Amino acid sequence: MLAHILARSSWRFYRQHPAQLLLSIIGIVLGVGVVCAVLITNNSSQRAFALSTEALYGNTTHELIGANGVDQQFYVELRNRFTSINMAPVIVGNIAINDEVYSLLGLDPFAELAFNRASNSPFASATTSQQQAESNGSSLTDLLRTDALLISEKSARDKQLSVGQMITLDVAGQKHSAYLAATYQSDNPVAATGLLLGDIAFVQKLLQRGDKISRIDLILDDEQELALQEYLPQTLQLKQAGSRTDTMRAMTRGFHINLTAMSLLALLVGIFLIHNTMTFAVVQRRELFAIMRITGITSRTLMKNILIEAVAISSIASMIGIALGYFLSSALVKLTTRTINDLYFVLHVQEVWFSPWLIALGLALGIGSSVIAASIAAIDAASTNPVQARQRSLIEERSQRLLPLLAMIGVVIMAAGALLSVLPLRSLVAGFIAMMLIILGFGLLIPWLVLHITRSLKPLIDKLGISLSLAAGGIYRNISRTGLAIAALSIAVSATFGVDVMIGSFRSSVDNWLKATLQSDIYITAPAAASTQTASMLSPDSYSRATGTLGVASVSSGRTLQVSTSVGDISMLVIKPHSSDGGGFELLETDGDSPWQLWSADQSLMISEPLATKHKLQAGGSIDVFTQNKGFTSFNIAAVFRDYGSSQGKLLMARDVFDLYWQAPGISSLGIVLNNSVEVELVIDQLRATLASSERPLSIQSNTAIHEQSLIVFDRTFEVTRVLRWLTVGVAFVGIFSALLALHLERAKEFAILRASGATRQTVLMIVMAQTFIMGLLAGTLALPLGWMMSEVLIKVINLRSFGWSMQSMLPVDAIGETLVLAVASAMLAGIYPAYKLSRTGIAEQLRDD
Amino acid sequence: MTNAIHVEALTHSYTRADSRTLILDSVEMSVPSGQSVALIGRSGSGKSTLLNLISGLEPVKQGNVSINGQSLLNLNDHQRTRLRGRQIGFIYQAFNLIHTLSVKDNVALPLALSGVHSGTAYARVKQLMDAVGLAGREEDYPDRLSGGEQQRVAIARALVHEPALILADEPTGNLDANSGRQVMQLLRDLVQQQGSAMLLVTHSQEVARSADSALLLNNGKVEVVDTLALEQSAAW
Ligand SMILES: Nc1ncnc2c1ncn2[C@@H]1O[C@H](COP(=O)(O)OP(=O)(O)OP(=O)(O)O)[C@@H](O)[C@H]1O
Ligand SMILES: [Mg+2]
Repeated sequence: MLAHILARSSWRFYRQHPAQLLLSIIGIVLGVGVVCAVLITNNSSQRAFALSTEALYGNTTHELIGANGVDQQFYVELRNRFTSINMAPVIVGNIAINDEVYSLLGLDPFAELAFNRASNSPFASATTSQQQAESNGSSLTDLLRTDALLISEKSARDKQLSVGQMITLDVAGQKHSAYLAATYQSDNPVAATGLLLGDIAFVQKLLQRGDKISRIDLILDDEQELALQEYLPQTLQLKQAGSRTDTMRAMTRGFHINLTAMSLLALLVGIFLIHNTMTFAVVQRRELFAIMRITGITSRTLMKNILIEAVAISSIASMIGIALGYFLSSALVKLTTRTINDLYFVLHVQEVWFSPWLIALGLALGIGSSVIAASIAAIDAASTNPVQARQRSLIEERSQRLLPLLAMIGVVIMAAGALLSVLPLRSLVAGFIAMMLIILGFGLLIPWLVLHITRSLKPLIDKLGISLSLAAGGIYRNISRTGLAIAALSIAVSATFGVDVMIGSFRSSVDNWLKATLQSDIYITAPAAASTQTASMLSPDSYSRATGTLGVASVSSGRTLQVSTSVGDISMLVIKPHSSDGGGFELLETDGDSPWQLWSADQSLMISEPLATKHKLQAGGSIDVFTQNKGFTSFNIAAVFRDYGSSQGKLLMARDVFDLYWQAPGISSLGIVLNNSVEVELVIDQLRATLASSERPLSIQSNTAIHEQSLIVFDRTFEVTRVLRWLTVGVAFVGIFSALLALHLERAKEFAILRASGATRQTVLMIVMAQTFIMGLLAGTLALPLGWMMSEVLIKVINLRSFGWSMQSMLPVDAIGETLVLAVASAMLAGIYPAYKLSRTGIAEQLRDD
Repeated sequence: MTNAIHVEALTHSYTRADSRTLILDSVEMSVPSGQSVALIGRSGSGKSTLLNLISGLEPVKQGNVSINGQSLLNLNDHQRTRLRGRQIGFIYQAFNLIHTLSVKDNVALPLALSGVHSGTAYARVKQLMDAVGLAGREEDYPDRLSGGEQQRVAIARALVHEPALILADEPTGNLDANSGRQVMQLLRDLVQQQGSAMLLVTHSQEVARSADSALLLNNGKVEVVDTLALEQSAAW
């Protein structure tokens, strides 16, 4: 009976305050939605990654690789010698169809039987059962065509490719055609998306691999492994099949960590929002609860009632939030995939990850924080003596007395955060904790600051007229409510400012680095397939031909390849520089005074900053590199250079040194310095004429074009961060809106008294808008120092620890203005509706004797 | 002689659960300048509603109300507010003070809203605080004063801008007999000093008798009653 009466009371409250109910729901929906969206996105791309490697490796236990591929001849030898071992030659590469990048796997159909690759062993089915092949719409003769390729059924459907069709492949800038002979069904269609299969001979030709294959996949038991090890020459390496995947996973770790950082921020703002809405929903009924207490309802019963209400509202809202997160994530997944493709490797994420765990987590977050927030407010409401519950000035006085204590706790927490961030730890988690502590501490400090700022400005504001004076007074007199709202807005806005400063500093560091590094006027490269990082080769005589071109002062050459080292697979840049001092490379640490001289000597190389930071390598130390001629060889580290090009690190080796250890004369890029006063475009035309040939298209770009493109890729990388940042601001906006609405509705009577005493509607509008303006301005101003601290932690701790890049922090002046405008605009926007409502409420109704 | 309040054919009704309830039915009444008039009537008869219409807190829909010769009929909300701010002081049964403003600021509010300089305003506030016997309590907050004290603050607020008309809606209804009497005495004295007119809603015969004349609101109509014959009236 009692429970029913109480439930009816709650129901009626929300019926009368539909906006409050809607806001509580929206608050939870957004909070849960954003966090779920980021979680889904992060998991989707990580899972897609796991699946695509699974598709590439199948049952493989080991792989055999060389420093520059494996000779085909060696495979034949090995096969004849170890007849009992399952082995299969593999060629891997990337090609593009209609500008979309696919992984192309060249396989030997007869060797494939045991490998169960791409899950359902398409080749096995194609070769063993003609019937099945026919059911896929093709015949055995089609499959035996020399230009046949297979595509997974799902990809074919998604990309509208049909069996029997000729397709045009873009291989390193050249067009080739192939015949789509069949589709294959896979146990795991997601894993197989973006994967084309072809006969090894055809793929070898397509990718111009000569008589090299990428690797030999093996299925080995321990005994076989030992036998094989014994037989292998020093120049080949037998690896566990998983180890490469680990390297690739490590590459994207930093990226995913940054996403996680944003999701933590979203989580913080989300929890805050939920807390805010639930608190207000309870606080608004303080008087009502006080009366209930007086009527004899125990505080236990009251608490129970409030909690049931919180659970009811939050469980519905959380479910909607999870659904929202799911939809948001499909957009985010696209952005992240593009970044990964730009920066790391080809990744196809087709399926958005979803699991019961996510639902559990979303519900736990939504319901958990709602219940906690509601119970704190409920304890407060149920425990204050019923008479005092009606004395508003007492509540305010109590919270004003609490503020210095809160501020002190805040300072202590901030100090702890700052200390944690300067400790020489390598842990990223510690970095995140430090950041969260700083935010939390500052948040606790904000109400106290607001109180003192508005109070001390009071005499000044009083001179500006009654509206402003009442507005400013309204802030510190209602600090228990306004303090919370300002803190929320401030934290959200500071996050955008902090991220802006971080991205801005990063961008300008990259910009400066590009300026210094791009020393040549013109760069010539053989185009790689779409956006992957593996470079193709230029023709052997291009170096000498370029040198002979009119207007060219000097030519440098470069070649990029992937090498195995004692610290994992790393990309290595082999160069013959323009000058003997390297030029353009900014050395952060050197071994001795003449590092370039040392570098050009035998058994030396340089490493990039991320490599040094991540693996604690130093100039003067050494690193083992797996070479083609001598197997593992130790190289002396002559210097550490700045490089924002890759976060997994890079080796820099002199061409002369390289030639001692590898038999790979090819070059993949040329850098050209021009004589003074020659027209860049003219020389480009000339170079194109001398170097280009029909079978080797070239990409010839000026220094400025590369510079611009690099910055475009940079901006794309941070697009996800930007999007998430706006989502966070959106969540915070709803937070400040509900806070302002609740605050002002609570003060409806106060405004009615003002109206009765002669305040016009405009005056009321003015007071409310002026108040939200001041609140926005305060939030924006306080967001600046907090945002700056956040950016410092992001730059000096989190990014350094996750990417290994150090950078110069700088303060973008327009970001300061933007932050203030953002804070003021969102506060004012959030204030319009409450202001309008207050100016319209019936005075007589509010003043009716209660 | 002009009337502080002049009401002509004022009709007002509320719609409640689909049925219209007529509260005021062509009310005719007036309050001469400088005079105190008591308004009596059964609970729910519409006394507060009448006061709200006179002060412009609720818009007049049918009939007319004039304050000091100024008709409210053609005034919009803004103009009505202005008029109220300058010419009317309102005292409520439930005090209606702003709990987050100090006593001093509560009283100063009407002056501040009509743009009076703060120095002048607070000097006037001081004067009134002395007059209502609350000197020294300026910095206190209203919700920590006793009922009688709060009502005295409300009186100070109603008089601070020297309005020509005071509307008081059961100002002593929430007070015990003794402090009610004191507050009434104070209100009467101050209103007389300022020479304002006052329309006073009351349930007390004693209070009604002390007014210059009395009006009875009954069945939506207002009629003048003899204060001496009040005992026999149906109003109690
Ligand atoms: N906003 C409203 N909506 C509907 N009905 C209303 C509203 N305001 C007042 N009433 C009704 O109008 C009638 C008159 O109310 P009013 O407050 O004027 O009475 P009153 O004479 O002041 O009573 P009391 O002496 O008890 O204060 C009452 O029946 C009341 O229920
Ligand atoms: Mg009344």
